[in-house]
Amino acid sequence: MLASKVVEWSKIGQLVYSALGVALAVTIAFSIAVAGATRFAELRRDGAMARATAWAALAVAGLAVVAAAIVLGIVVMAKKS
Amino acid sequence: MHSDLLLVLVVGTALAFDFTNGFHDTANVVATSISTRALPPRVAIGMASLLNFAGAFISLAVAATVAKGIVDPSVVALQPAIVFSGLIGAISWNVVTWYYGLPSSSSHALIGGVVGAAFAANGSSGVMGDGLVGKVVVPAIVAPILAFLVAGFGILVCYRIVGRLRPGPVGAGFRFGQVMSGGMLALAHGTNDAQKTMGVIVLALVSHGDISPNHIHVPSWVVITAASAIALGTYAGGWRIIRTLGSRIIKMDPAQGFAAQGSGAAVILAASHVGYPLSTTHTISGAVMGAGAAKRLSAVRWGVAGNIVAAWLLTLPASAGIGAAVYGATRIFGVNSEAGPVIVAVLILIGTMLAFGRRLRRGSPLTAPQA
Repeated sequence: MLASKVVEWSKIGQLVYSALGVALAVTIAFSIAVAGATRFAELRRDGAMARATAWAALAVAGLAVVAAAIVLGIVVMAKKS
Repeated sequence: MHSDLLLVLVVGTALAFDFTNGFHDTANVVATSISTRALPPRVAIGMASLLNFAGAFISLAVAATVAKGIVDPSVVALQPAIVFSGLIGAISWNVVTWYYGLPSSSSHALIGGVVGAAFAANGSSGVMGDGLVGKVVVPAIVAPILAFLVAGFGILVCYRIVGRLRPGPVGAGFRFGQVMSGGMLALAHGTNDAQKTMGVIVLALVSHGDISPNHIHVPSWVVITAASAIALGTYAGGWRIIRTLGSRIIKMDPAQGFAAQGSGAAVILAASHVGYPLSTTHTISGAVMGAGAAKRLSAVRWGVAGNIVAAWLLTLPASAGIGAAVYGATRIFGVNSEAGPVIVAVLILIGTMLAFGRRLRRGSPLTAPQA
């Protein structure tokens, strides 16, 4: 009872799910971007341009998600002020 | 209404604390980037300094929490020595932990110092116990555990996706990622930490009668000076703690560095959004340990990690004790006397210079080398 009065559980919950969601989304997206860029370079060197282009698109999509997350983070903070 | 000299002394001490906060916590922002060679030390610190400055302007939610959520502003309004003593408690603890190279929390040192001084002045009535537990203690427990888990999951996902690829280009990719995640971390640090000093200066202005306790706000000049002080402190860069965080807990690869920085930034930004004065030190240290432990439990030097956790546990009571003792010492010269704070300020300045001098004589670098 005391804990529910003192501790703002809704804020703690908000902190946990937003941090977990954003961090994992950014990590997955950037890892995909790195994998895409690496495979693109390898496949282009081997002359497989169609597959290389597909991996490049994946890399760009991953980077776009990371950029969006950065912008979203700044906007959310700015709104709080 | 108290004397202008006392206000100047308190604001100057608050900005000095802000400088030590930047100096002490530079490691949080740059250690992982430096240890994986994503950036040269001076470039990393310069970038962190600029983004710390910028971050201080983004949000003021944490400043409001410090100013009115931990101690009773109407109690502090009567005695500016409380704010001064709290700041001295925080600066002293920051210097001690820097001396031993321990990444302790500047935020908790500040809050502990102010709470200790308020307690010494007015007993438990001056401290908002619910705010202290709900807004400081609970997030202090949640943040490092959350950062540990998020970074742990993050690095496992990273390795799952890129594990079969050639390490060279993958490492280069994650080093580039570290420049971005380190930038976000620096921004988050500025947003979160510069505001604590702003909150304290606001308390001093309440005490001086410039701001009503019932209408707390942060003046623009406070935002600009606090942002500048933390940026300068960050640029000075405390190399001892950078070394502990960057290479003594785990030997990091670039993917681990990215996961630790990204997770730390996400937790700090989320905390700042909900208005918690979170410790960036606890968060990034937890993330570094999580990124190491997820790869291999034995990769983490648990002895070093244990020393860091012990410093965390000691921070609130130790800085509170110093804050209370300093308040007691200033009180000898009379309530709201200028003599007490002036003497204590001179003594702490001498003590800090002696600590820096002792480290220099032992050949320890104080600031980051060029490369």
